[in-house]
Amino acid sequence: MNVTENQNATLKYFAPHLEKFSTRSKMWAGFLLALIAFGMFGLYKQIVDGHGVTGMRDYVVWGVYIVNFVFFIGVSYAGAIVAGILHLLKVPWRRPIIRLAIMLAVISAIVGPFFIILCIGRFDRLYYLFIHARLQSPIIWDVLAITTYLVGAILFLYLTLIKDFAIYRDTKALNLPPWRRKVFKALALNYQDTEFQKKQVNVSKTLISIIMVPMVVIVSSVLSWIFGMTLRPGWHSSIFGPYFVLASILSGVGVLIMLMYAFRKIYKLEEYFTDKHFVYMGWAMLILAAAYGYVTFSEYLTSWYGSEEWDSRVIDKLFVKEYSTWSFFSTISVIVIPIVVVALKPLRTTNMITLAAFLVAGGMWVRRYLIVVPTLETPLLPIQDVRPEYVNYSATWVEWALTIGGLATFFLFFLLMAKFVTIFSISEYADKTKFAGIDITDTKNVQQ
Amino acid sequence: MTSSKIIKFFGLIFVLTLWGFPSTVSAQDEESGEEKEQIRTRASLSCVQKNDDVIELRMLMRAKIDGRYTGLPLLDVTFAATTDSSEVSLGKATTGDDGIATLSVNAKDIPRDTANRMNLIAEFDGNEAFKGSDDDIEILPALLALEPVEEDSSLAVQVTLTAGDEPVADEDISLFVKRLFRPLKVGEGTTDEDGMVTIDFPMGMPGDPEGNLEIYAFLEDHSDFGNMKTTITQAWGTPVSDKLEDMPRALWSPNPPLWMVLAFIVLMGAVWGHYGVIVYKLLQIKREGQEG
Repeated sequence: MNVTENQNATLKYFAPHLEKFSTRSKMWAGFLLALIAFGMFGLYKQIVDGHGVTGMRDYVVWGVYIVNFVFFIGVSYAGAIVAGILHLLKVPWRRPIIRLAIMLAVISAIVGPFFIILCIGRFDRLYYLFIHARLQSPIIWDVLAITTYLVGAILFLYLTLIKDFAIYRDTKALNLPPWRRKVFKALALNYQDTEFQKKQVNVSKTLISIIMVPMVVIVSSVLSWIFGMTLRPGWHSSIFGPYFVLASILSGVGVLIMLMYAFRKIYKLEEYFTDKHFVYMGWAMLILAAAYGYVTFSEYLTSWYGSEEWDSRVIDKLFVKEYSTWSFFSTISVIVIPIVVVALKPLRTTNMITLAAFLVAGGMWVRRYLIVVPTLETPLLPIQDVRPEYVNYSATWVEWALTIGGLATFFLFFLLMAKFVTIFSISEYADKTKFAGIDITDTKNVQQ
Repeated sequence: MTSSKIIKFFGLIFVLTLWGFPSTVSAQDEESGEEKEQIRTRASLSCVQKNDDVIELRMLMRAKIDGRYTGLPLLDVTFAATTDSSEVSLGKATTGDDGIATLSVNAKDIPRDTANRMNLIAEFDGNEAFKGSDDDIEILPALLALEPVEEDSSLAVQVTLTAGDEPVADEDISLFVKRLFRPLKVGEGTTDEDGMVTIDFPMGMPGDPEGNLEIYAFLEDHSDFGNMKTTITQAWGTPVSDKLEDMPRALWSPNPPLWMVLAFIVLMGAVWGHYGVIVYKLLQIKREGQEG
């Protein structure tokens, strides 16, 4: 494949990141591995001593594990739908975002399901889920949905990478070890950028985008139905499907903005992830926050006005009693702050939008906690003379260790991916000549 | 705002979030190292005189824990009968989850005093956690007899209460049918001067596969006789099969509804069909490259 001068120059700019692990990268990887080891120790304790080491008991059988699961899966769905929509609408500013979004989709969809496995007390019976699968069970819907979705997300990521694999294979700008050249050669599938191959890649990308957008809506709804199909107060609601779809996309857009900010800082990519990209993503965040605010208000207003006994107890816990502070925090951070920051021009800066995105992501995690725990603490058939520690859930160090371990795995995957491929498509930037204000076609400005 | 300030702010929010959410992350069960004092217990003995000369003794052991009386499980209780001159051990039993220890004894094995009364005593000796306690009752033997009455299209139960050979009048008798969880009260009446009362019995109650119903009359907490209960089994119910019928095509059945199967096939077929097309196109790309 013919690699243009500009593409070679761009790859030379990225060469220090792609060719070897710098000391700083090694330190980061070591730090993340230490956190993962801490999580693995927690897992060891949980397997050896049983689920008694967690805060989960007879009432609250799902804790921060399911919260993490819903959060990561939601973020993943957002990555896929953002990438799909940007591709289908051929948005002019889409180029640097699509690969990052679909990387986010794949990595989150790999990390998230591990948390649901942590909820299972008997790992040795995990395969029962498949050999005794019943199509009527929302859990099976979710297993099938996530598996199908993950395959699609990987295909999507592969389609965004195939041209670049051919460039990595053929470029002279990168000094790669032979094994990596072989891997890139295999992954490039003999891609030579012929008109036929270009057409096949573009048609495939359009096909996968077309299927990804409705699939994300469906699988996100399926995730909500794990909760919504039960008769529990606070869960059994017809609005739960759209509620989860919006929550997923909103939290994912928040995480995506944070990733854009981080990579822009690390690689000095101000010419790629421009302020304009942050403002556009900020507007998306504002619209989603407003829509999420609407469904949240609608959900709780209906429950509150109905005054059904068990619904009222959950509403009381959320807005008056023990969880009121966190409800207030999540409402402000998820709904109010993104709207205010993006709507007011003086606040509409890259830094402020990223700060709002950070608060959206954190607030959405808290919202998932507020969906899961207060409802489980309010059973329709309370146990007689129940022990107090069964009623109120508080996560233990084991659960926090595994949460931190999962988060570290998420970042480690990104670190490794950024060492393996460029975080945006080189093939789409044949014309780009500048990084951080430096002319990269001038060989004096880039590392040889 | 500079980037370093942003990073510091992020860090602060992150730390505050982890630190404060939720407020307690420590282990839930902490045992106090202090020695515990023995808790005072309360014993309540009752008995039920049943047919076939069986007397069921029931000892309820309770203690005030966290401001309310709670049944105490796993306590050993000794039952005995006393007369003016001697004490006869009847046996031992251990309290269950509800704090009740139950012992069934034959009425003929229980000694009587000169007034033909049975003096019964139950005692818990105490242990490391709980102080000992006891209770006693005094009962007079009596007989509660049941006679089923079938007349034309109606059903009834005739109950006779006697003590020795003397009928006992003006006592309230209740009639129950045994059900799965709790007994169902189906009627009540008061004994006449002959010690008899006839209580109507409803027709068409669900029974076992043969239509049998377990019916019992109950005299509650009598000052002389204690509780009395006599049971008979009559085929007065509607037979109900105890075999599971084939489940309908529903969510709880082994088979999912047809619409669900079709929706699943259509959705999965559409998605995996697209994947198949894409994989085919990737193979075409590879073949084109090889030919090139």
